[in-house]
Amino acid sequence: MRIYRNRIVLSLIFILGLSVYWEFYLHPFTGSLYRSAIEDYRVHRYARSLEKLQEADRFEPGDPSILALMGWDLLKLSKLRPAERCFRQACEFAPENPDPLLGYIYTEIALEKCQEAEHLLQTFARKYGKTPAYQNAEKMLREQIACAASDAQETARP
Amino acid sequence: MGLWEWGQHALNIFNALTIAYFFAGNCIYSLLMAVSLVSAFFHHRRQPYQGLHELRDLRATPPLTVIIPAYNEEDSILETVRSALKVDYPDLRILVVDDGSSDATLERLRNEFALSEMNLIYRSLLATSPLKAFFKSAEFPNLVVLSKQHGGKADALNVGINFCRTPYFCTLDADCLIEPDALLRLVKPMMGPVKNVVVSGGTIRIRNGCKVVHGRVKEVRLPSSWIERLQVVEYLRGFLLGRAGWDLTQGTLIVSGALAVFRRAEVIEAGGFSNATVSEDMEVIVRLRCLAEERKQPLRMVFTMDTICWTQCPSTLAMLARQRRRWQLGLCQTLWLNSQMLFNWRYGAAGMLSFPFHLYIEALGAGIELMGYLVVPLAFALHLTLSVFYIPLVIFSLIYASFLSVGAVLIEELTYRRYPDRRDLYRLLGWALIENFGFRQIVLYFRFQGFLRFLTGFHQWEKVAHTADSLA
Repeated sequence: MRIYRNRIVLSLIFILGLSVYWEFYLHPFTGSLYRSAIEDYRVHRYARSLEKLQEADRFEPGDPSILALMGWDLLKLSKLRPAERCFRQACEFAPENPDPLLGYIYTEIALEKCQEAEHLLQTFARKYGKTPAYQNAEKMLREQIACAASDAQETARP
Repeated sequence: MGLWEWGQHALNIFNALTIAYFFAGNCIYSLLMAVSLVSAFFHHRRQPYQGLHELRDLRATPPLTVIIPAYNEEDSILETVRSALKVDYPDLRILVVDDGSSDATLERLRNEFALSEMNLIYRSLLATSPLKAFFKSAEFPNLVVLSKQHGGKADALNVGINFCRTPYFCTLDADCLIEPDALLRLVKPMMGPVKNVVVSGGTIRIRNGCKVVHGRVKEVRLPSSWIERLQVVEYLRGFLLGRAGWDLTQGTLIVSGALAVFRRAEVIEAGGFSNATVSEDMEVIVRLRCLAEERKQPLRMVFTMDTICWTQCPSTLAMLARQRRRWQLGLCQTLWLNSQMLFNWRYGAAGMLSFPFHLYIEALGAGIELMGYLVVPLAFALHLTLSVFYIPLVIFSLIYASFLSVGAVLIEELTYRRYPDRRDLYRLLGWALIENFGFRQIVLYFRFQGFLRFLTGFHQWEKVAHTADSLA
């Protein structure tokens, strides 16, 4: 019997195909919630996006894509400490993904942790090169450092 | 997408497959348990009205040949033949086929039963290895022993089929002890109102630990070692849940060749037993299903819940490994050779339910489940995320499987009560509870090895030796 006409082989290909389709296209809980959250993020509805992601996180805790987008939502909503936690976890789970690392840098800048941000920026440059995203983040960090220095001067003035 | 993300996706897909496997397996076993419970209840109620005495005295009861293939069975063959000779059946012939044993199997038979060599006319309907000699017993006129060149169990059975002249024959393993009324019980469905019953099988039980006197199990007791006791639970679950359930759906694919009655004409038409697999009993059933489809005529394979014979189970892990590897290899070979049955409505419940169950849950399930356990530490080590349902579902499935094992022991206690000692029952329940935590995983490993052997084309019969202790 030809192998491509063997019912066992065909059924296994079908089951594997169905599983792949499930994982990449259906994923009934987190997949649809995640896509919907991205749509909300794009139209600046951060709180709504965050709600959906928190729901998705209940089903798949520790998913780096969900954590990263949650981080961005929290950053936009100025909830900096939770955002920092989300980005840190996302970086831990997906060290190859530049998106959570970038979010982590912006959060550290917003938290005025310039040294940590500088260190993360170096890591980013080492891993992904000096991309436009890097340059924007670096520019923001320099501004933050300058701003902090001017604040310090102002405080020091008698 | 980076390597990590690909790994995470692969893990997610595997998680989904494992969850589906556990879910489907437990659902099917639950259904089988429900069906078996009903079946056992009615079967037990009918017990007093079986009419076995009438069947024995009936002139229409067909003559029967018991074929005992033996290869290096010097330790157990005499007890087996003695037990077969004591069977309560009106017209019975016993045919021992010595498959070229290199030990003293033939000598022991010759001495014990006063065998003398003779010439017989022999017509070969099925191709087999050459025969060496025929022996007839002076003491027991219905006992014949054939000696042939070694060709495997299937080949020995085919020699027996060629030689037998009765419309029905019965296969009996050389390490089994047959119950006195087993053959009447097995033949009864063939004489009943259901037409075209071509195979009849029953429940096989473990005799390790039991008291055996002159080829009869006189006292049923639990074996002493944990490995044998756990197999008692396994056998109860396998026969009282699995096979009884499949019988009711008419999807029987496996009838234990240790003791089963076959209609000779159909087996010959299907080509006899095949050496292409190491589980010739399952293979012949599947081929008979194919024959029924070719003929466009339903052929029935029936299963009786009555205990029909007592077999020895492996008493060491090494022997258990051999047995389970062989079973798994045989299962995979048979399913692969008959893949046209899968989801084929023309084969009825066997094609639509039983074949997929045996393929996905029994054959492939061994690999899926074993990998399912290994993937947990792997995921932690690689910082991959398991599905939130995964670990709770696996734990729940194992607990549920224990519940099914306990259910099988309780069905046994509510109906047949073969273990008279109350303490044995409690012990069995205890072993049923813990069977799924450790022993199941060991057996899975052996089964997975059998699966790998199938994939790598390994095709060899691994003989299970029994210790002197288990023969006691």
